Amino acid sequence: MSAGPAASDKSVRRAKITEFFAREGFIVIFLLWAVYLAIATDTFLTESNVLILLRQAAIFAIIGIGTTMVAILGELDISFGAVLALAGCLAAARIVDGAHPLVGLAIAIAVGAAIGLANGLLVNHLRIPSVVATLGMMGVVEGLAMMYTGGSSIFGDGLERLSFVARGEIIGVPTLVVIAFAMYVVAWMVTTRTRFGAHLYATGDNTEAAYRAGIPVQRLRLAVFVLAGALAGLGGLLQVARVGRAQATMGADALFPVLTAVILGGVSISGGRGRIVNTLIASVFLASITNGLILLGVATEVQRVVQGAVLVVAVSLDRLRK
Amino acid sequence: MDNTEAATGAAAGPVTAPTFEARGLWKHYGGVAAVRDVSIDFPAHTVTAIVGDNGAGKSTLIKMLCGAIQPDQGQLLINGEEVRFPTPAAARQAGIATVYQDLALADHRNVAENLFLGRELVHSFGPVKFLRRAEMRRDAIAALADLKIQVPDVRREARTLSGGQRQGVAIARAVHQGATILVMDEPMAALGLQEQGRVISLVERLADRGLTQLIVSHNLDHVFRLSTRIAVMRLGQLVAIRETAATDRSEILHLISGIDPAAPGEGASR
Repeated sequence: MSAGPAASDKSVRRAKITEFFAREGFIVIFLLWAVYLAIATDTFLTESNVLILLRQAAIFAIIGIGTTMVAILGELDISFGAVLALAGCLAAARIVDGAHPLVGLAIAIAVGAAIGLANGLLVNHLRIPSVVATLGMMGVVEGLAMMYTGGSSIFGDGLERLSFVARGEIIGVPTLVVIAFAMYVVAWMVTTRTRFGAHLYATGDNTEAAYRAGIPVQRLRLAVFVLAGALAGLGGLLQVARVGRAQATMGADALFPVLTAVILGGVSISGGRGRIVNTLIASVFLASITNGLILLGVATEVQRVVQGAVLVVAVSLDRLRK
Repeated sequence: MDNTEAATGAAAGPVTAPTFEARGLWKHYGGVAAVRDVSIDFPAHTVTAIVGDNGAGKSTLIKMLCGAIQPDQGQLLINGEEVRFPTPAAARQAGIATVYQDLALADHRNVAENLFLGRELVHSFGPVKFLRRAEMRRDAIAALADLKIQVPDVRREARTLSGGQRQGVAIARAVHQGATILVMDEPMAALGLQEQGRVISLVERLADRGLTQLIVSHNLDHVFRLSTRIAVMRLGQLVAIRETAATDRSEILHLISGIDPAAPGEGASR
């Protein structure tokens, strides 16, 4: 089996290094990129720029928690952008009409959870592959959002009451960032320290084994999709808070960054592996890519090319991880 | 620190497997009887190998014994009392655990996590269940040591283990979760000789302890090394049960194929 201790040690070490790079290599690249930007531009490391970057990353990172959990389960949910839009529009309309922001929050989360439930039921009972089910749901939800808004933006003074979320600070740190950070702490604890997390990873790793061991796979899947939907709904409200209005199309820009962050962060789409915190780091990294390209004066078309390229690289890295 | 007593689940040391018996089992698929009128008992301390050609009814019989399918006729008895297993979970309740060929381990979870898969030890705070990870690790070490199964570290992921170690962990999980009747499908498939030796020792240890074991295998070498008795199935019927020590490959092969050993022209197989 082994060709002697020396040979196997070296190959084990090499395998470990490759694995480390495939998994956490993006952090190294992130650091290099940050250093480069700090040198090449005099605006990257300024407080105001860093704050803009973090705020932008925060919303995608929060949505990313749900998408990451779905991926750990071995599924894929690409409807979060559409959910963000519909939930955001519905909540914004209520708030503009005079409802309290907390009511708006409840609506956004409820709408998201309901769509998540639909996704989960489709996958569980119709046995449609989740990427297809959520793709279809994405179309439906986007269409609903467009029907609801009639193509126009929802805005009004009522939305000013949300601005504290977007522009406020808690002991010097932007509120959005605090929220994101707090949610990641909870997500980390849930995935690594609770039975739910253990079942999540086990089911993603070997669904058959988990089922035979008595883990309620269907219920778990439903719960995760509902959670992902709820988080996307929350993201919708936060986005409305950030930009001050809601549009049916406002979810489209979320698709790339969230998916890329999840994959780049090392959560394999085949399931059962990955750390939630990596999605947070990857989200900040991705935000810094767009941010840096803008600061470097790169044209928007080229930015799109770069974003696409990063996704391709992320998926390739995922393959390397076996 | 004595962890053996602290281990939850099956106590270390001898167990008494219940008496397990099948009487008059029948199973039809379409118009074909996959299992015909099979009666067999499985005493404690025994390792029964169920052999037969493809289509002989081995897997159908096994599935009925562990609740995966329902017999059309016949009874299953535990300690003389009739039982029904509508689901595999019901069979598990009665102490029957199946160790499948694909081992049902989660590759990227570590040994301790696999040992407690589906039965994690938790602290409950209302709906939130926090894992008692250190305790599970300690219990896993104790459970494996008790069965003399060696793994490098219970914190290692299952995929880093050899085939024999994985087999050991899968069996240890069943025993630790209270199984007294183990059903194993090709337990030594894809194992090298040294690892086979470890599985054989483990099976012997479990038999000494009082567990009842059933093994399904196509490989007569494995069968003769592992079992204390051999049940031969042919065309859905149980044609013979032999004490392993009292028979040989030739007789078993003839029983499997139904060819009369006295017929001229049949070369004596080794």
